[in-house]
Amino acid sequence: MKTTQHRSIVLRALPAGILAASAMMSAYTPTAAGNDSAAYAFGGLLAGHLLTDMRFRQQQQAQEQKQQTEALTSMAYGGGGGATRSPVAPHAPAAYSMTPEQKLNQLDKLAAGGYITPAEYKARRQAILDSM
Amino acid sequence: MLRSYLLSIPLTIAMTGLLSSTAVAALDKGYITGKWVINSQGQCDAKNAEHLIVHGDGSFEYSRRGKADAVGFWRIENDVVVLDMMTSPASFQDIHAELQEFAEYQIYSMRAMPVDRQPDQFSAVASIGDQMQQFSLKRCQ
Repeated sequence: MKTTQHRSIVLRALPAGILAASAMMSAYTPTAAGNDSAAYAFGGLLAGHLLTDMRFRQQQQAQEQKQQTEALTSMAYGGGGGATRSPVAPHAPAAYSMTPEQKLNQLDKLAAGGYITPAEYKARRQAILDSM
Repeated sequence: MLRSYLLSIPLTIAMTGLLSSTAVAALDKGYITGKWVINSQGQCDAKNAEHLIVHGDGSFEYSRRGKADAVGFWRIENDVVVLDMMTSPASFQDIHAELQEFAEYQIYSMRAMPVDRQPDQFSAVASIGDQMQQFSLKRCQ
């Protein structure tokens, strides 16, 4: 009997608990959600998530590009060593036939993703500009 | 200290009882279909109103200022409304300017738990990714 009463109280308290949690969570914005998001409840929630998701995708893309660049560099300059060392791949020079604009864009993405330090960024950028 | 704790128990029970007594409408297709206005103090024709239009065929659209910003399909799973939708992040650039760079359409899934269901209005606790929000919906006549 007591157990049933307790269960009933718990079930009744559930909506209140959810409301209280949501009231607390409504103040929780993990992304840099601006005040505008408050104007639209559903849209603000969706936009906040889209922003987080897009930033994540950007970082992922930058990471993939960095890995690709490292792999190409390794292939071109022989990072593997020994018998497993691959000859220069036919498409490896493509990384070096990029236009300065493409190189700068890629560098910007690497910097935005936090894969290179500001000093490295500055040095690389200057090197690209000097090569023009 | 103890007295205030003891007093809080019946108060909490009374509040939760009040809340649960108003939750009468069953969550089903018949209930959820229709045009709902989100917040906006229940004003369906408010200038910046957000609308959720839920169709009986399992599709829905979310619109702001009369323009559809997301479309998709809905279903009910264990008293939770699941909204699988397609949208372009750029549609929300007025909320976050950074989103204007992302025009491609993407698929997202939002889950909303309706609480305090009444015939023509309810509150919902919605979550998508790590974001959570509570809002109220009122049926447009």
